[in-house]
Amino acid sequence: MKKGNDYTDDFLKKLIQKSALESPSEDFIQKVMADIELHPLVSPEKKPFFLYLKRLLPWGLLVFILVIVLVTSDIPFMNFIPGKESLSNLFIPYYHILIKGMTSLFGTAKIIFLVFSVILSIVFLMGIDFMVNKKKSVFGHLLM
Amino acid sequence: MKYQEDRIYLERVLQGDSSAYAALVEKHKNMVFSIALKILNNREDAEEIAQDTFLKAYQSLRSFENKSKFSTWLYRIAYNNAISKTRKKKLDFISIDHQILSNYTEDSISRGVDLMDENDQKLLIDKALQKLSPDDNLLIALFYKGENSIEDISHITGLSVSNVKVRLHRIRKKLYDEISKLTAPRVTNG
Repeated sequence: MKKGNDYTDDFLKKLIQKSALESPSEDFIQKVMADIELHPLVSPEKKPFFLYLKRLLPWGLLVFILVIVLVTSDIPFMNFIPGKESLSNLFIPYYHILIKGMTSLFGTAKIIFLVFSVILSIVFLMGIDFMVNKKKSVFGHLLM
Repeated sequence: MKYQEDRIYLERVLQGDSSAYAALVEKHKNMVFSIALKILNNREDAEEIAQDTFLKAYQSLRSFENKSKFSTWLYRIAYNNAISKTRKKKLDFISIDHQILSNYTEDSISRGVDLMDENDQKLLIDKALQKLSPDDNLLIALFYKGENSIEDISHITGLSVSNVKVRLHRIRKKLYDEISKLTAPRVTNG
């Protein structure tokens, strides 16, 4: 008979097991199974494809912004991208229109650039956060 | 009735055989009900919680990832359901200083009890368990009757492993004390 100064005690275990656990009513199992009939197990429905596109929208916007910023920037290695100059020429006028329009609102171009950069950075970081946290489920659904 | 392993019933349920769930309910209903009863101290409430536990477990079966035993997972649901009913965050496992009598040895206690017949032993332990608090009785049910491991009990109740060990040690001492009081005339020394 194993005894000890800790909780392991065969004598006590055998004695306690003579006292049965409490039992619920006799029709307990029928009640549970009746509940289950009302709430059957349902397989998760396959989501329509356009819902996956909706999930990809933030990614798409992020990539779009990133491409615009990189293409219109003066980073030296970006000069090797074919068509960079024509893309820059395409987007830069719109930047100027946007900045010009905001100049009257903010007063100085410096503040505008600062605000614009901050907003872009925040959007970029939010996008990264979304990608890191949601990436698993997005790809999981794509594979379904 | 001899039961198969839980995973066999679970596989059948997930394949669409909901009747296999009845076997799981039959196997675990007493422990689930006991957990609820120890916390709520009311049979009607305990049965309601037990029923709700099995329903919730059934609806969540697809998300059960087999990281723990099914029984541990099920008992944890029962424990949390019962605690929610009492609107407490968790059971207050309050440690009560208990004066341990020093005029007995555990060996003498067990010798005295061994002399009793089965029915008397059952009555004795039932009386001794009634002297314990509901929290202590819950740990007794989980460890000695349900034969759950310390780690499983820690997972079910939210207590740390060391806390569970310490409490079981104290409960053991209390039980011997209670048995000693109930069997005093039969205790012999030496």
